[in-house]
Amino acid sequence: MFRRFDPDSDISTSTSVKASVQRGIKSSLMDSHPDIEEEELDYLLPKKLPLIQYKVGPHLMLYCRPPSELSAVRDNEPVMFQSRDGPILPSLRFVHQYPTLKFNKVTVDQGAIPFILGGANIMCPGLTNPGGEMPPDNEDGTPALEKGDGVVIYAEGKEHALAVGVMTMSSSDIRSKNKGTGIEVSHFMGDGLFQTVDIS
Amino acid sequence: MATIERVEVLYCGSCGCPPEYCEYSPDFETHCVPWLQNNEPEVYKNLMKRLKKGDAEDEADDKPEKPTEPWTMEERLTKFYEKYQPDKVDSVPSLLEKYAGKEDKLFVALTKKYGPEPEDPYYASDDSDLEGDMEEMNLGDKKKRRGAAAKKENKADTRVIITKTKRNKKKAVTNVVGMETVPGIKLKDVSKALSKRFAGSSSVKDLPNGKKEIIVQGDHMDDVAALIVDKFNVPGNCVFLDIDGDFVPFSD
Repeated sequence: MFRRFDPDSDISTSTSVKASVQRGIKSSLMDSHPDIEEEELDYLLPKKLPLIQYKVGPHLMLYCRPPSELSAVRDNEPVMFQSRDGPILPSLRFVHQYPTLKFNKVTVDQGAIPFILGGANIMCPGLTNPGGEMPPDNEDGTPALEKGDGVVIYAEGKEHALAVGVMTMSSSDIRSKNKGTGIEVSHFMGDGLFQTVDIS
Repeated sequence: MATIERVEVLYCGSCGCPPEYCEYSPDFETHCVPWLQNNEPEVYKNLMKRLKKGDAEDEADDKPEKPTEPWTMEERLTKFYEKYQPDKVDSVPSLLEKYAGKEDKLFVALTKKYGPEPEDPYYASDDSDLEGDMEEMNLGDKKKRRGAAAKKENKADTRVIITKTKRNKKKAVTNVVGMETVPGIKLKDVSKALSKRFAGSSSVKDLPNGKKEIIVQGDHMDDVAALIVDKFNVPGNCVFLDIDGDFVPFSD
């Protein structure tokens, strides 16, 4: 999605996000990532400093936070993005900065790393092989991660996340089928968005 | 209100990734390593330690005992007969005497008669080493391909030939052959650009030999060459003009 992203040419309009929209972002983040506390989000995305929304192409929204004491960069720092009606996903730099924030998380085995860094989607075996990891299914049998959920992707033996993506199968399907694309990678380390530290 | 500690993450000055991912960068040895050494010696030490450990484990995995020398002629022949004709093993020394100096012929004849030779573990292990190298090379390719900016590079076999053919006495068409050898270019786009530039028809056609040619109506050999060089960044010495049967490079 961001492989060829270039903030100078690909971004069209910027608007301050309305308070209601920002509330919507917060609540949808909390819905999809149940381990994130409301207070944490309130702190990271304060009401006083509304996010700034950039349009990237026709269907992609990039949310940036304005410069403040919270952020280390001088200009608007990309923190979230959303494609069409998909899940709101955090940017990798944002994930790196707040390692205590508990997004949905999966781990891939080491063999997958070079491919992901090239922008490949995540195939099921990368998640089910030894070294790969997904949250265990809920007690009532429903999968921990549904199709369409946003996840942050970590790698075996590495500290930092290397990609974020959207599940194209539920986690139980991934375990049982174990074939094909399991996660569609939207943003990975080294892509255009990752190289964009701030947008002026 | 809860506050969350913001962590300053160290990113490699060369590849932009956290150093733990530097090893996957195409310029790991040439750029990341020097940068880390100069700026973050502590991190570099840890990283190297981890990498070495990984390597050592890898090597420990795939080292079955290897024979230090290849088979001698006698061993080779013995193994051969053991595989196909065990009762003839005794005659090996006499056979060798008979074929002294012409062992190659002997083995050719034998493989013709019985089948392929048993493999010498010495060479076999060599092969696997080779494969290992190949794998590394392939991996290298993969590494180089990552990232948005990485594009395929094979300039060596880029060769664009521009010719002119007569049509209807007074008219001419310009044919461009070999545009598909230019990496990262779509023939349709080239054709479009040409038709725009010369305000005439331009089309892509498959040649019987599997190549593709672009046909531009009109006599535009030099202009086509100039446009290809300027707009599509094809090196001038890869573009050839067919002038009375001679292929002349457009520019050096």
